[in-house]
Amino acid sequence: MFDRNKDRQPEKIDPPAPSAPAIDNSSAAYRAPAAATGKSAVLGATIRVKGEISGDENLLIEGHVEGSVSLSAHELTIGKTGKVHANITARTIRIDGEVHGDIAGKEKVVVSSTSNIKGTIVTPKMTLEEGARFKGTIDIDPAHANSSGAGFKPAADKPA
Amino acid sequence: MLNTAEQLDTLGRQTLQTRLMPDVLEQLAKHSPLMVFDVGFGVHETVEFFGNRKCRLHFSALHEGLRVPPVVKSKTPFGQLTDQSEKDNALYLAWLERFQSAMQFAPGTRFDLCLFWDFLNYLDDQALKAFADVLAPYTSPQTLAHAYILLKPEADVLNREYGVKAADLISVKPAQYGSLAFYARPQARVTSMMKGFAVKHSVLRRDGLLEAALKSA
Repeated sequence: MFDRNKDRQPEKIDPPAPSAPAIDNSSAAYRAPAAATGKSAVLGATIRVKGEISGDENLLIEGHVEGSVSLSAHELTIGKTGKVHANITARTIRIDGEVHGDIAGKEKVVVSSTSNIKGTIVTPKMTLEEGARFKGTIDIDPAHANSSGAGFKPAADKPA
Repeated sequence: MLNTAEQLDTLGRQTLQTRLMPDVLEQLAKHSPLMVFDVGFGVHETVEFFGNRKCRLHFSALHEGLRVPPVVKSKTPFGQLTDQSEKDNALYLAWLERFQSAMQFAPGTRFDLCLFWDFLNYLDDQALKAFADVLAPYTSPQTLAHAYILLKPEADVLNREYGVKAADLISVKPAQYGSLAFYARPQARVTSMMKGFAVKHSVLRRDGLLEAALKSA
C-alpha cells in the first residue's frame, strides 16, 4: 500500500568502465624498462649473443656474449655463469663470472672471488673482494669518481 | 718465531709488520700516476691500499709460470763432458723467452715500484738473471722495489701470497702454487744477478726471511 520505494529509480548498475589496457609489470605482456624499476634486464644462462649490446637500463648477463657491451649510464653485472668475451663499458660493473676483454667502469668496478678476468680494468674506484685474485692491469683515477665519467677514457685510448 | 702481532689466523692468514715499506712508499708519495708492478696476483688488500690515488697496477701472477720450468736438452753426445756454460746459457735463454711472454707491458712503461715479494726465491740463478733482464727496460733510475729473500731453506715461509694492507703492514695468505722449487741464497748473490738493482736497506726478520728495500742502480 505504502510503497516507500515507489519513487525510487531502480538502482543503476554501472556497466564496467571500458578497461584501460591492463598493465601487469610482473607479466610478460608488458615490462617497464629495467632502469625505471631499478631492476635489471637479464640475459639468461642459455642465451648466446654475438655482436654489440647497448642500452639504457641495467643488465645482468648470465649467458655468453662475444662482441661489445656498452651501458654508459647503468649497471652491468656479469653473473656467475656469465661468459663475456668483449670490451665492456658501464657506469658500475660487478663481475662474478668470466670476462676476457677491457673493462671500463665510469664510477666503480667490483670484482668478486668467483670471477675470472683477462684484460685491463679502468675505473675511478675499484673493489677486489676478499678472496678474489686478479691477474692483469688496473688503472685507477679517483679524481674521476664524481665527474659522471667526464674525461674518462678506457685504457685502449690512453697513451702508454 | 712470530711475534704476537704476526700470529696466523685459522685460515693461515697473517699480517707482517714491515719496517722498510713505509720509507719506500713515502718516497713515492708524489708520483702520479704511480706505476706499480706486482709479480703476484692482485689481492683485496693491495687494490684497497692503492685505490685512493691515481695509479696503474700490474699484477702478473708470475708464479704460475714456474710450475713447469723449461728443460734444456744437452747437445753434447752421451758420454762426453757437458759444457756447463753452454747449458746455463740455453737455460737462461729459455727463461728469457718465458718472462718476455709473461711480461708484455705497453711501450714506454716505467715502473715506480716493483713488489717482488718472495718471487726471487723460486728462481734459480739463470731464471733470476733472465727475469732481471726482461724487467730492466721497464725500470727507471728512480724505481724502488721490495722483496723477501730466503737466506736458509725454510719451508714455513714459502707458498704464500702477499698484499699491502697498510704502509707498515703486509698481508700474507696461503697460496696455491703447490710445491715450487726454491733457492736459498745470500743477499749479495741475489743482487749480483738482479741487474740494475741494489739493496738500499735490509732487515733480517725473526722467521728467517730478509726483508729488502731495493733501488734501481
